[in-house]
Amino acid sequence: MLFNSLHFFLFFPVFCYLYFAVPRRFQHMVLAAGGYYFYGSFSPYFTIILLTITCNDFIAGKMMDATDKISQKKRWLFLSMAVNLGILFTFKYIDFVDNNIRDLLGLLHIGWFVPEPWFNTWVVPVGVSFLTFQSLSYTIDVYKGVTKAEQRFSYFAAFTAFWPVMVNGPIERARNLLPQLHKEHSFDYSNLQQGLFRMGWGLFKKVVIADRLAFYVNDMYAHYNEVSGWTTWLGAFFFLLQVYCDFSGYSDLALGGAKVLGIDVMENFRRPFFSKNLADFWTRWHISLSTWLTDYVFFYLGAYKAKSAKVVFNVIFVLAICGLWHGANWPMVISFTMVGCAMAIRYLWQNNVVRAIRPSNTYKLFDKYFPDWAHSVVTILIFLFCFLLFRVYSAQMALNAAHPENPVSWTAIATPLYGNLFKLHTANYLTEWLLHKGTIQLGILVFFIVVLFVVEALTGDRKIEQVVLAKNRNFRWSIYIVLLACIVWFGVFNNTTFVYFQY
Amino acid sequence: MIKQILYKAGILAGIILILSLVMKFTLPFYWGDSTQTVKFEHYKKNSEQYNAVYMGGSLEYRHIDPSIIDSTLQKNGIDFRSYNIAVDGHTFVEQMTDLDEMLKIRNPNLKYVFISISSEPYFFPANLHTSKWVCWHNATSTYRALSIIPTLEDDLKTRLKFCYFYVMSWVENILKIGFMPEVMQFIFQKDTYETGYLGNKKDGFYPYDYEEHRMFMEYQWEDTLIRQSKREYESNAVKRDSLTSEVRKSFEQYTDKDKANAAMVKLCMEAYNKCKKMGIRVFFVLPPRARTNYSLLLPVFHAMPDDAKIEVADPRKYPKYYAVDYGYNFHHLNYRGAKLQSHEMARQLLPLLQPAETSAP
Repeated sequence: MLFNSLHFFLFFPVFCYLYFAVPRRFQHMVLAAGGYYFYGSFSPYFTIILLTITCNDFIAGKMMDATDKISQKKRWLFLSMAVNLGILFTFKYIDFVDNNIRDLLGLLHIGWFVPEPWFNTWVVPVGVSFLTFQSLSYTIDVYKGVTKAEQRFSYFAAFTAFWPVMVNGPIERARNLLPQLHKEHSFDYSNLQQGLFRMGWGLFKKVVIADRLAFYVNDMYAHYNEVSGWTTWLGAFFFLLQVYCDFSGYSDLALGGAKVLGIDVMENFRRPFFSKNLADFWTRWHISLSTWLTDYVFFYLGAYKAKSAKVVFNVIFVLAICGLWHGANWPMVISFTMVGCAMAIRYLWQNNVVRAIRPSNTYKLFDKYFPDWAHSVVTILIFLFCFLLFRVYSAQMALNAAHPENPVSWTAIATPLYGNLFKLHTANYLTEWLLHKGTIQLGILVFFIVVLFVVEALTGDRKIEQVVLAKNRNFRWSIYIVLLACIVWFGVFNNTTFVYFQY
Repeated sequence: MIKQILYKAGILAGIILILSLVMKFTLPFYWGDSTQTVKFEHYKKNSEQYNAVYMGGSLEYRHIDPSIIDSTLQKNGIDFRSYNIAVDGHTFVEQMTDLDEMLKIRNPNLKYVFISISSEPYFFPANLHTSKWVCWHNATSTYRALSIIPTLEDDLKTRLKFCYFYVMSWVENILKIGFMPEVMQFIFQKDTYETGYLGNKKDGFYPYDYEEHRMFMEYQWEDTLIRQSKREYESNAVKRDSLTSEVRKSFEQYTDKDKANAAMVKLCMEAYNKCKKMGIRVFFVLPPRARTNYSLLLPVFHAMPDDAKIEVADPRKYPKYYAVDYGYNFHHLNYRGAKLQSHEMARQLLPLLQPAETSAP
């Protein structure tokens, strides 16, 4: 059940009614049941994985709480991590690892003892990366003493099966969510208003902007051999914007849905296109993952306290892990590693060069005349360069599905894309690409992108729903109607185009 | 509190509904599909050139060559100038909406209409929510679909599912869900649509083997699918033979006593009578290679008036239509096959038209 589906449109009001109609002490059970229904709607088998993660981490948490011995706590933490990461590895990474071993041994002309990759047909459970990371954060926090272990299974089940954040984040922490689940929630009209508006805004970003951008991004990558220079840069920008609108739109839907239930979930995006540098970008983009990696990996490795060389390694390593989390394929890993390298270079520059020249007048002048927007542009350009690779694997999959007789490797796609990227005197295929859906479609897209940036600039770091709801009634209703009309009339509700079944 | 929420939600939904209805009655009708738009716009501009129109889906669009039928009949002294308005993927019910819209276009010369009996109202569910699928729905089409689907012999779940799909598509049409960009494009840029859909002779006929060599489809991957379907057809002899033997079996088992689907017959006869009132003669065509089971189509076809039937589907009579040399993919003929079928249609039409032509003053 996706948030932008009719199924959810029916599920949500029914669920809210049940949630507020039952005695308050049973609300968390309704949440857990709703979560299992929500997750089971993708495939009933997925609920087995959810239940396994829940039971494992609940028991691990309780056992760690019951003992004072560090060695025993470690043992339970290890078990919890082994099960969570084992599930993640089994469903998401085993095929990737198998393929790499096969390729590597193939290069050395050595046979691989696994005869058939029978697991390559397994379906990756929806949101398994989010589920495992959210649940893992609980056991790690219990181990570190940051969170007290949950004593009642039903509350813990409601935590792991909290459907608003279940399949696409934000990766919520137990210390924020569990105490809220213990509280009784009465229906609150203000929460409903705020939640629904936030959901509407998220839906707008998803179906009006992201899904429309998809037409252009898909087409750009399908013509990877033809595009060059500015066409590629603009395509990369469209792709970054598509990912942002898609992902942040989904997070808005999650936050809004949770708000209606009276639960506050952490923000996942905070105007990343206004970032002033790469480190700032990561405090604004997929915040729940970047803070997760910071808390549980980066700080564990020593963060910025170590020597320069170690810090450089830490930054690159964490970003590589981030890439691997996003997808079990090399382009994704390399893409994030490139971001990590850029961040490491920035760290070295700041630490060695800027620190030395900061007192000079030249630096002060530079700082004065290099405005914030220029910092943002440079940051985004660096990201575009790295994120161009992010989409290469799915482009490869799409192309190979369409042309099985002529398969291409991801390097065959990436090489011309990067090879022609800096031919800035060219913009091959630009007009055909931008106009392939017609000038009207392009005009609509540009208009809504401008609307998005204007809204983000105007709202600043405040929550959009709070900004709108603070206005007078006429203004609010005008916004409601315009937003709804845009979603209904300009939304893309079927990403697939018409299929002629007569084939 | 619930009342207040429902009241406000109702007001919001009401405003959107009113705005959608205002749009419906102020904006021009749009097919949601560039192929159909181009074909209908061409007919609108040149309607008086034609006195015969072929309706239907891809089995007509890709199989009926108007130039062959025209020349054969004209050689025999019959004034016959036909246009192929059929579009890929059109089902039985959609075809009736096409007919309604086609008849709204003024053409005093129109004398003959060909309706295809080749499909039931089922469709590929992946097409739900696409503008091409949603745009044509209205109260009448929904009623037509809902009158036929419950009478089909499939399981209850399938019938209920498709009834729901039709109702939902109509609701989406009323609210104009996701329509606006394409409607705007239609209003401002319809002249820029690709006219290749009209075919080489601009008569609406365009076989797949022509299209394969000229990629202009709205969605590039469709061209890929076309080729893929051809490859699969050529390589999978087992499936080819089993499809043909199924068709043959349906023809062999058919008897006059087989009961026709009353709802489909009623719909056909309504179209027949409507055209008759306008002085237009209707012919029902039973094409080869239909995806729908012929055991459903044959009784409906045979329930039509005798002087209004053209049958080109029987593999016993027309084995070439099912031969690999004349096929493009499992459910379509190639150009060679289309030429054969067009000649055969002309041959069958000749005796049906000659008495009418000779008795005309």
